[in-house]
Order: sequence, then structure tokens, then C-alpha cells
Amino acid sequence: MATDDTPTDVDESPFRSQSEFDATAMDVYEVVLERWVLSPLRVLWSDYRGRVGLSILTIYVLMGTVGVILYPETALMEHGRLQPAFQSMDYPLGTNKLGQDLLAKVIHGTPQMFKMMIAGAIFGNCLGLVIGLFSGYLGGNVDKTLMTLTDTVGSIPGIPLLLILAALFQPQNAFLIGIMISINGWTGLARAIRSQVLPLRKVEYVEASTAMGQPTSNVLIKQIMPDLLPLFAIRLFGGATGIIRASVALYFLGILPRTGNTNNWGLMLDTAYDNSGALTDPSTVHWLLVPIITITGLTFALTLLAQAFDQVFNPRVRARHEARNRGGDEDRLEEESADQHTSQLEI
Amino acid sequence: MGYLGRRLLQAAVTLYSIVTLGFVFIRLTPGGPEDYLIAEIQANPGSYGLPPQPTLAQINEVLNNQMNFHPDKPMHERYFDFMLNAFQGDFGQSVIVEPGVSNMQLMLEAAPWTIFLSSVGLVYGLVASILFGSMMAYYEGSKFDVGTTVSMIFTGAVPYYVVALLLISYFSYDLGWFPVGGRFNTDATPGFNYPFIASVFNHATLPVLSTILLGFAGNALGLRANSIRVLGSDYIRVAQLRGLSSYTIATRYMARNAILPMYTGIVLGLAGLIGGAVILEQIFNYSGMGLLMFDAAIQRDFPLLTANLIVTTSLFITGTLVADFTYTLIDPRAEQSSMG
Repeated sequence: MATDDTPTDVDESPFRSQSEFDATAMDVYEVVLERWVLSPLRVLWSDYRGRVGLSILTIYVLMGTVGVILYPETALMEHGRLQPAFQSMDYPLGTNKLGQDLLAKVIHGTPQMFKMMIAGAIFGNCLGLVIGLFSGYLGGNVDKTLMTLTDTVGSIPGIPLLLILAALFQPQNAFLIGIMISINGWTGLARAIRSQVLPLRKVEYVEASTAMGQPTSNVLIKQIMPDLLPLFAIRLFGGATGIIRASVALYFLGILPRTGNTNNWGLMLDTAYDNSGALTDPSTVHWLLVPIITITGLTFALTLLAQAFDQVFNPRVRARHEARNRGGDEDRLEEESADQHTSQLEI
Repeated sequence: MGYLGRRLLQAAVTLYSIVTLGFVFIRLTPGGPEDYLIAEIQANPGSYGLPPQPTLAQINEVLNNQMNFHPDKPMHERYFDFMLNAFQGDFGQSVIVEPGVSNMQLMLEAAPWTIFLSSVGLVYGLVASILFGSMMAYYEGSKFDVGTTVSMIFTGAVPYYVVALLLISYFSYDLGWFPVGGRFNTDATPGFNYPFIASVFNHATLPVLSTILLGFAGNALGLRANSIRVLGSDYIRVAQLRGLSSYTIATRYMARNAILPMYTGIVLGLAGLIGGAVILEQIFNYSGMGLLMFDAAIQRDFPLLTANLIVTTSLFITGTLVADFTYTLIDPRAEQSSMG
């Protein structure tokens, strides 16, 4: 945290007071903010993938929050039918067969997609992390029980299980759909985390902490978790991408109920594909391309961010990047060792 | 009991749970499956081989054949009957998709085609993604890495079913190089002859291509991320200082350690292939297990859907078993801790 060094020559003057604490709450917040939010963001921003990814994601977030308020919903037969894109400011991306503004449908479909992504990614990844961590570290009966559970759930192929669940329960709430889609998505992460924890148990610093009598929670969080963070962060984006795909696929296949979610991107894709004569008719192709580009753009941004996260977690990769950007190969080793020291604080 | 025995026991537990879950799913059918079927049988008894105005006993007999449990029996006996039949490979008869045909027969007919598509797609996809992934990581940050990564992220961001749609519209409709759907040319006589085999491969090209794309970018990028983590290790730097060739470092020092965390993931990816088959087979109208599942889901044929789920799950359990038995061969470190 902040300053540990206590001043040796304390001024005895009655007009000066010495605080009992090293840091105020504000200082603590500043340090936490700096360490966990600002410096990762700076690292992300220094990489072109992070810049592009963050920018695209920001557009989608704005679309789903401010855009929903500013841009009115569209009504049936509001405009001419099947108008091509970029013709009028009333319908910038053109209209569909029912005369609806496609941009309005895209914008008003965004919150539902984000709700599904957030609910699903958080649910699935946290479950996977916790189960993999405990299973791999504790071993023995806990490992056996948890892995039997993981195997059982993970052995059920995702889409077929989703077909049954969606057909049986017909969920309409976006959060529920997100959780339903990740119902067995956590098992892959749990196994991956476990197989990374297994060798880590034998690493010297973990054995040392255990020998020193550190509590298990401490060892898990301070010694083992940092090694798992890259995998976890990348899987978080992967999980969100998976939910976008699975939900679009389920809506595209026509398994999830259409009522209540008329602005869903997957539904847009499905109706466009069913009605526009596939991809053959060039005059209606914008109707199909708008949802495709919308979906692809979001998954693209998430994948880019996952890539850029490599650098937040692996200081040596970052050092090599910086060294290469400066163009000097001679000072590469120096840069690398220098960066290793500073980066200890950031992680 | 050795590791082998314990692992087999675990697989048996998994299998048992899946079949039980299948029973639960059938029970959860809205309004119960019997109500639907009884109404269906009373509406047209002829198609079930019954005289007009059938008695309740006759209807129950048909139900017993279709659902694998007798509606008069109490719940635990129905469960027992269902489990007994399921483990003998009898999953009852299809209710709606092809009424009266045994579910097992429908699946056996469809399965080889799906296995053919998936295995060819899996092998080609893995080889390509491992090659690309480790090369990208080794030349991390170079023009090659940037170019390949960007194109691969983009390929990976486009959902595979959208790619499949684009493929079929361009290569089948526009160029006419490949057929629009089906499994083989109907003119050819099935058997071991050139026209038939050629038509099988011709029909499989686009689905296999889509299957390769299904996991390719994800696997390659995942391998790249792992390799970069490995690249940060000291032993790679030591190997470079020892003056080993880039080829030796890339293949022997890096790839082996980078593929290790992916290994279980690769086997788990089989489940993704089965799921992908549902969508791809529907787009390419390729009658395998996936199309069967899609039909069952759309038409709400829960017994057939459940039977499909149980069978694909059993196939998958076998795959996981193989992965676990071979894992210690690849990573000896894990031997004492996890297995012993």
C-alpha cells in the first residue's frame, strides 16, 4: 500500500498532528484504482489490438445505454419496405420487409445481448474457476467428487442439451437465457484450471507457503491465482463470445421463443435469411448483412481484447513489444529486466 | 482398485446420471408425454395399428412400446423399466419425427455420416491450428503474426454458421462446384465404387470445410496465448543462449509445453463438434445425427431428442476416458498428484 516509513524526527510542535493511519480511504482507493483499473487500461491502450477492441466495445456499450434512450424504437411500416442502406437519415442502415428501421432494431437489441453475455460469462467463469481451483489444489476426495460432477455436466454436449432445455422451458428473460447457455460451459474452464493447478502444487513457492502454515485461502489467492489470471481473463472474453454465438444460433434455429425479444440480432438474421432469398438477391442483402456485421463486430472486439490481455499479464511479452517498438535490439535485454521490476507492482 | 478401475467407475457414474437425466427430461415434457400421445393415438388409431375406438389397454400397450414405460405403473417402476431398456440399447420409438420407428435404428443410420464429417474436420482443423498457433507465437509481434492474427481473429469472430451460409451460397449456388445438400449423389449405387465414393467426398467438402473453421481460429489463438506464456519462461531463453535452432526450440521446447494445457480442451472440443453438427447439417441438409436432433427439437419429439443426447454423451464419455488415460503419458508431473 502507501507509505510504511514513519518519520523519525517527529515535530513535537502542538500545532502539528500526526495521523494514526498511513493512508486515508481516498489514498487506498487511488492505489487500488491505479493498480487494477488504470495501469491495465494503459497497457491495453498501448497495444493496437487493445485500442481497437476497447473502441469497438465502447461503441456497443454506448449503443446499449445512451443509444436506447436517444434513438426511438421502430414501428411496423414506419418507412418504405426493403430500402437499401445509406439512403436516408431516417433509416441509415435501410429497412426490412416490414418497413422497420434496421438501425433501431440493432440498437434496441443491444441491451438484451449484453444482459445475456454478462449473466452467462460471470456465472460460467466464476463457477469454473472455483471448481477447478479447489479440485486441483485440494486433490483427494474433493477432487474426485468435483471432477465427477464436472465430467457428468461436461459430458453432455452443449447445443443438444440447449435444444432440450430451450424446448422444455422456453425462457424469455435475458439473464436466464445467459445462465442457461453457460449451464455446462464452465466445465472446460474448470478442467483447464485444474490441469494448470496440478503442476503448480509442486512449485517451490507454493510448497514454501504451505510449509510456513499459510491458510489454504491465502495460498490459493496469493500464490496460485496470479498464474491462472491470464487463462481466466481470456476465457471471460471467450465465454462472452460463446454466449453471443450460442444465443444467435438458438434464435437462428428457431428454438427460443420469439415473444418479447423482437429486436434480437439472431432473430433478425433468421427472418432475413428466411425471407430475402438467401444471399442471392443483391437488393435485399443489407437486411442480412446488418445483423451479421453487428454480431461479428462485437465478437471481434471481444477477441481482440482477449489478445491484448496477454500483455497485461505477461510483462516479458510487454517488454519485448516495447523493445521492438523502439527498434533497438541491443538494449532489449536491459529493457526486459528493467520492465520486470516495475511490472511487479502493476500485477 | 487401481487408477483404471476408479476412472471406469467414474465413467459409469457419469453414464448413469445422463440416462437418469434423460428420464427426467422426458418426464418434464409439457403436459407429460402420455397426454400428448394418448390424444394423438385417439385422433388416428389406424396409424398405430389399432382398430377405431381403441380400448385403454390397447392404447397403453402402444404407449409402452413408444415410451419404454407403462403409464399404469408407479413412477419408480417406470424409472426402472426406462433404465433397464436404455442400458440394453432400447430407447423406445420415435413419436413425431418418424412415428413407430425405433429411435436406436434412426440414430444408427445417421451416426456414421456425422462421425465421418467430424473426424475428418477435427484432424485437419487440429493440424492446421497447431501449426499456425505455434508459428504465430514464435514470431510474436512480427508482420506475419500481426497479419495472421488479425485475419484469424476476424475468421474466428464470424460465426461458423454464417461462414457455412456464405460458402453454400457462393460455391454451390453461384459457382455450382459443390452440391446444395444431401450426403451422396442419388444416381450412384451405394457401395465400394468410384462414382459413389467421389460423390460422398464431393458432398462432404463444404460441411468439412465449415467444421474445420468451427474450432480452427479459436484453437490457433488459444495455442498462441499458451505459447506466449511458455515463451516467457527461462528455459526458452536458456535454449536460445545455447544456440539451438529456432526449429528445435519451436517444436521441442515450446510446442510440447504449449499444447499440454490444450490437450483436455481438444477432447472436450468434440462436444462442440456435435453441437456444430446440429447447425451445419441443417444448413447443408446433411442427414446425420445433428439433423435428426434438430428435427426432434423443432417438432418437440422429446424421446428421440433424449435418446440422441444419451448416445452422443456416451460417445463423448469414451473420448474423455481416452484423454485421461493418455494424459499421464504426456505430462509425467501430473502422475503422482492427480492420479495416485
